[in-house]
Amino acid sequence: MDIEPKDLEKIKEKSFREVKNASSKEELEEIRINYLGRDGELNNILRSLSEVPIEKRREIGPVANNLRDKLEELIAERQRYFEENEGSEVDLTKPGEGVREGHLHPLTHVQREARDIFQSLNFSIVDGPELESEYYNFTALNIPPDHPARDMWDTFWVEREDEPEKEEVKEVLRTHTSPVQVRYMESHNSPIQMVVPGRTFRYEATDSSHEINFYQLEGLMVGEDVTLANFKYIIEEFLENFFGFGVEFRFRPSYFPFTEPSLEVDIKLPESDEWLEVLGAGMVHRNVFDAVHFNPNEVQGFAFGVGLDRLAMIKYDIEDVRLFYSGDLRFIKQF
Amino acid sequence: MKFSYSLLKKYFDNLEPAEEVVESLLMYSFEAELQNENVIDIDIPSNRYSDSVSHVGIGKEISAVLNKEMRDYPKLVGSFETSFENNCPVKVDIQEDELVSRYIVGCFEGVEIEESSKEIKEVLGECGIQPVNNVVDVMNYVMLEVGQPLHAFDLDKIEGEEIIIRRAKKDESIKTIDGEVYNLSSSDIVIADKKGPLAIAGIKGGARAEVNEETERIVVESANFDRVSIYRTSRNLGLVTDASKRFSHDIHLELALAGFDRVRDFLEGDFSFDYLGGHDSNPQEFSKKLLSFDIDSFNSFMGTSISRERAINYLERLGFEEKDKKIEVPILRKDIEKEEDLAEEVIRMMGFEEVGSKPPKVSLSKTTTDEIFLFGDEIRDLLSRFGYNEVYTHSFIGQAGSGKVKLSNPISSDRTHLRDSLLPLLLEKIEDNFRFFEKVRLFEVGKVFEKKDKKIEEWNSLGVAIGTKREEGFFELKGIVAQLLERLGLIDFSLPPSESFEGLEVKSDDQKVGKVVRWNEEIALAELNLEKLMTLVDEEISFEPLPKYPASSRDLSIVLPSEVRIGEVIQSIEVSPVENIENVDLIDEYFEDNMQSITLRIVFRSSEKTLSSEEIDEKMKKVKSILEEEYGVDIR
Repeated sequence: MDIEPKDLEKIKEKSFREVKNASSKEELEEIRINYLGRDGELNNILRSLSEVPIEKRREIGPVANNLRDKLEELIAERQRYFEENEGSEVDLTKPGEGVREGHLHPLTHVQREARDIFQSLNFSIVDGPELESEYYNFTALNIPPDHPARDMWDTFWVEREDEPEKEEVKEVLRTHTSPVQVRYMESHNSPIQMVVPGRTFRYEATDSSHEINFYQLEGLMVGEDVTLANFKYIIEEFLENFFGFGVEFRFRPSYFPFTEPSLEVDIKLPESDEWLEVLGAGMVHRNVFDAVHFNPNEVQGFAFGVGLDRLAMIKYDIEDVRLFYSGDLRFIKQF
Repeated sequence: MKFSYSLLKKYFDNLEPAEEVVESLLMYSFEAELQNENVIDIDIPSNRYSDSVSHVGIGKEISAVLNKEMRDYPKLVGSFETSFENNCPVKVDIQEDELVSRYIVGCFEGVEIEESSKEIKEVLGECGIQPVNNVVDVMNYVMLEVGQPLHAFDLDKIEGEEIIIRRAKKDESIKTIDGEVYNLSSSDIVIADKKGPLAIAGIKGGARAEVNEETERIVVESANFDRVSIYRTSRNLGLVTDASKRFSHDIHLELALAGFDRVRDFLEGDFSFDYLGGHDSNPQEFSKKLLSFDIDSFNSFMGTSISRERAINYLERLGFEEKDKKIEVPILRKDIEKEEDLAEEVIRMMGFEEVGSKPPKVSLSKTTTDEIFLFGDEIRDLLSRFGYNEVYTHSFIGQAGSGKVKLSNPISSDRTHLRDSLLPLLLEKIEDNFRFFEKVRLFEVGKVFEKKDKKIEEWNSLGVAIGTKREEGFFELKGIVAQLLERLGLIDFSLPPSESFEGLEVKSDDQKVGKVVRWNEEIALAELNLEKLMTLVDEEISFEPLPKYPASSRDLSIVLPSEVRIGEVIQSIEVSPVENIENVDLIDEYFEDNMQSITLRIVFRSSEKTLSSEEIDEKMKKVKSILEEEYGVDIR
């Protein structure tokens, strides 16, 4: 048998690695037998040393012996490790660790989704003030002062020390996002495609379907030839994207001073037989175009307003609008 | 507004069941709902009172949408039999023409007061009106039929047999038939006699000339008052009645005559009272409006392609008539003034279902998103990543204070003002959530309001709050605020202690942009002005090459008087001339006898080479001597 030092080197490397990677006592014992057992690889070398020439024996002998000692020591050490940890195998069925995670408000989720859908349909996203003048909230929208049409919106008024008679300064908490239509048309030219998500206010007693503040998303599209049929396309596209395929629509007449014709849109979810009112809309009224100095003979378009709280309630099956403003984390953490 | 199905049914041969009527109204006319088998609740749009706020008016809508003829019903317009030949004992004095646009009165004698017929009482009941006696009830019944409010006075209780229509005098008051007393102002219109007010015009009758069992002669009033006056008075007095609603909505003058004629018919015919004659202050013939209607403009507005014949047919069903290519508008349709108004009638009669949905043709233009949405999104995402939960609170708070915006009609005593900060309500929400959670982390992005030099400003604010039971929350929140600002790209900011509250100011570019408040040992609150922040942040992230050489750290323990601020100690190391200091962190502290012992970990790194331990020892020596000099302490 011809033994070279590099053979020992190989055995060392291989055996040490195996011992290190051994994952059980049984496996370790197997390794011991493979190297140090009666017919073990290293043992065979040691036994055959007597047959090699003396010079070679002097060279290989101490190295081989040393290797046996080291390997025995290593195996023993690993053995102890297994013994110490015996019975303490990791129980993988224990619960995972809790991850601290913050949650966004459901109305944020809904608003983002609505914005994304409208942006994909080429609408810009526009902001507007929550505190409005009487002019923008009502008059410019074809709701004249002292007109009972104003009673359609129960309004919060801000107290002023000086009683201003001019409606430009008298402040109201906007009762809808529609004033931003007027503001936007005052500063932009046709064509217009925009939506306005934002907080709105109503002076009314709260109950499971009424809140003193809530969210709307206003939409406005104006151009040379924007039609009611276009409105139907856009709003069906939106509602189908939002509620998923299979939602049914119903369009019926309504009245808003700032649109003509005005309509109401109801939806019916798959597997439901209930029509749910989701938004009001219509073709922009001539008087609104007049107020922003657009020529109603040259442009036409549609506007709509959708209640985001309402969308969220339908989408997540929430029965009480007040939960949105409760700050209750048991509610928020579900979204 | 409630309508009686049984009354509507009388106007037709075999009217469809109430459910079907409601469904048709809903799809082609008005928001309608069946309340019970005989009561339909209809939401009359504010521009349709003139023609539709009556059973006859609704009958006409039903007739149009179901394409079904009306049989027998009281007329609303046209020529009436009533004559005003004068044997009427009562004189009328209208003091200002603009108060009343038409005033009809008629006198009756031989009055016998009794209970109304079952039929009338049922209809009143279905419409939510309490029956009183035959005279009062028939006034209300006719109002329900034709839409004209009517009022009967006991003629013998009118002093001087003269009715005066005038503005209320200062300090005048009236006791109404329900026993309430209202103080009037000079903007209110009253019906009066020599003695004083008999009724608040167009709103409610007074108790003094009330019709009751003793009544033998009556004066019936059928009038039309100044819309704005009635609306204002009704609002000012907080008194909304069936009459005030109708007058506020500008019903047609013609209805005054139709109403009076119908009532006279009842009183003379059914009740056998004697009609003595009356007055009509403003008899007139009404001419009908003529409008053009172009089917091509209609189709290009709606995106439809219907024929003119079809459109005209819909209009005719609603009582419009085509005359020489023009459309003649029914007298009561005050809402129809322009071609677009006709278009609305056509499209709703056709049904919106029939309009196809067509994608708009637009030229490509870049959409934009207002910056506040993007900034708000970024903040929400960061804070939720940090483990904070988003809440929405109300925009109203209760505490008064300077600069807070007060509402003139608050909804409740704890919501009298607009919030000038998000923190009061976040604090409340932390405490609410303590019932269910040991640790509460919240934030809100929302508008706040403040009055500055008489002008009200509103801006977007961010509120962040932490509540940790039996644990200090402040330092987590301070870390969150710093981390947030860094992630937003605000490089240059500082958090100096405040002099007015326990907490820190957040400053950048010499501006106060917010604060971090240590509310108590468990709760901390922070608020940042987002509009200011938005102008300060630099969104660009620039990459710095990864370090080539290793860092080494050394710990340094110092005993300092407890009044020395740790933040200042760290800062004095960071800004010292000693080079290659990468970071200084507090890793341990404890207090003993007015002294604090702190351990700082200083991390050194050079971008040019691996620092040897001798070099670092040298730098540490410098740091120590700087601290010794600055704070007069010995360092171990």
